Amino acid sequence: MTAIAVAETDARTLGRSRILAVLRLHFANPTQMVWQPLGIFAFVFAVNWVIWFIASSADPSGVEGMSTGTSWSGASAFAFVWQLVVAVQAMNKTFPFALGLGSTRRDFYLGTALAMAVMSAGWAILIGVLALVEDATGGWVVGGHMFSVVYFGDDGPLARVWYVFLLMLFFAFVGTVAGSLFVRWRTWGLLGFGAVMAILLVGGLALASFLNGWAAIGRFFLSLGFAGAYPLLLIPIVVAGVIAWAALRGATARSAT
Amino acid sequence: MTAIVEATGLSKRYGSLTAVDDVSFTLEAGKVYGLLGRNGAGKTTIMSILTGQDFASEGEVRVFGASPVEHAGILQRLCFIRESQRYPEDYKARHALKAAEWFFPDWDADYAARLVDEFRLPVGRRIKKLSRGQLSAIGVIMGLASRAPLTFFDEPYLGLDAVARQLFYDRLIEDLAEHPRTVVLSTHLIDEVSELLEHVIMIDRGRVIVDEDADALRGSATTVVGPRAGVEAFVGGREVLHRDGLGGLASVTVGRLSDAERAEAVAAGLELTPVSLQQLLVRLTGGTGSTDAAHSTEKEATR
Repeated sequence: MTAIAVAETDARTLGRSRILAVLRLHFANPTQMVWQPLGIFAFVFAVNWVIWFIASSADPSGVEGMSTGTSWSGASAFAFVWQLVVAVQAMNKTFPFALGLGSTRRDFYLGTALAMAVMSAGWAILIGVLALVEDATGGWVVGGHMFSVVYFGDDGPLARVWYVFLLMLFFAFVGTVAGSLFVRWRTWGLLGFGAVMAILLVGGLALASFLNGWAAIGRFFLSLGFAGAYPLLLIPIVVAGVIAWAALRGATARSAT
Repeated sequence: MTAIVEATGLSKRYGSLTAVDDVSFTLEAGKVYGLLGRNGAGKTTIMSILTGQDFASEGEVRVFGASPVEHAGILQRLCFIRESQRYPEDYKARHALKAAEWFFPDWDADYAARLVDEFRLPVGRRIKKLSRGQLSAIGVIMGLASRAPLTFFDEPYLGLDAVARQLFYDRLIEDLAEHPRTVVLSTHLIDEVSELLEHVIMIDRGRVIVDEDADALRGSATTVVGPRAGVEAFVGGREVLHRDGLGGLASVTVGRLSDAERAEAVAAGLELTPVSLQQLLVRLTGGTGSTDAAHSTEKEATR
């Protein structure tokens, strides 16, 4: 009786700090989570700037024309893919270690989701601030765009941060669900995930085409605008989160070896 | 003595493979246990289930009074760094040791740092670049410094050099004296730890074949050596665990002998030697094929 009672009070008092411990676990080695992507980001920016500089001095339309063209830049896209890869590895590599340290699957999942949210927020704020600087400096003097790009609209700096956050979180949770399916069912989990995604995607495309729904879909998103459309990402984020938890609940350290 | 682990009818199947087959045992507080068996006997699976890292197919486990599965209050009192432990991508040894501090309530960082020096663990090197012995050292250091009330060491000797093996042995004894706790040493290198063990659980093909006090076990078998005729006469109809012979000499391992029997053997000019735990495991789990070997030597003898 005493043993059980003691165990349960321990779990309650340490519940929150155990989730935070998992969060710290993900950032214990910041190289891959922070420094590498920031380094790549800086490098991509530097290369882009040189290209903008060369192009703007050669382009007869000058900085004006450059600014319009580079506002379609996809140079920051790698950060989203990086987020996805980091999420997969957080599941695949960090999960068995967390179990070894005596973490519960629940604490690991919540701590990992929190880590993903923190990462996404960090990226969103960084990109948001850089976008402000970009606009204020006329595109880094040469009319170049990498952060204030058309994909995040022009609803103001706060809205942009919110949209980037949602998109980052979306990639993080796609990675999380893929990683947890892998941890639970190995290759079969990933194959099943890929198959279901392919069926949904092709099915959706076919349905839209057969019903001649493309115009309606276009009108739907236009009517939503950026402010209405980006939050729709929360639907796949939540679905991915639920599936990831369902898979992780039954995952073992053995299935992760 | 209070039981801190109670396993009842534990089984684990992976598809058609039965890794653990109807295993029951208890572990008492403050003892040093040897979980012994050959590779693939089911030792790691049993420890995984006891620490909630894997799920039993059948049976029940109670650790500190309740099921360990998803029970944070129990799990934080256990330490089980498996032999094939995986670490986060690009982690260095120092990251792993730092992380341990956040999870084990009784973690002793100074002690861990001392052990790092003594084991010469290169903490700044990425874990995937470490040698087998260095990986074992991480597990040993985490096991010792966690001071977890129930600590498992999974093949702690794998790849360790002679100095490090001795070091582990010495530090474990010292630290247990200061901070008593329950330790389970899972290994197939038994002679190294034999003196340490207070209780032995031997596993073979997923089943418990021995669950006995270590001292009792040490006396549970004796090898009788001497001239073939004398040995055979003494052994008579006893159960023979192992039989060996060279020319006119015979060496036969039998079960426990009473004092009178020992005196009788000595009087007959036979030599009695105790059987080590390692030899016992080899005999019991058929390392040299306890029955097959006996048959083949018998055949040779009759030739």
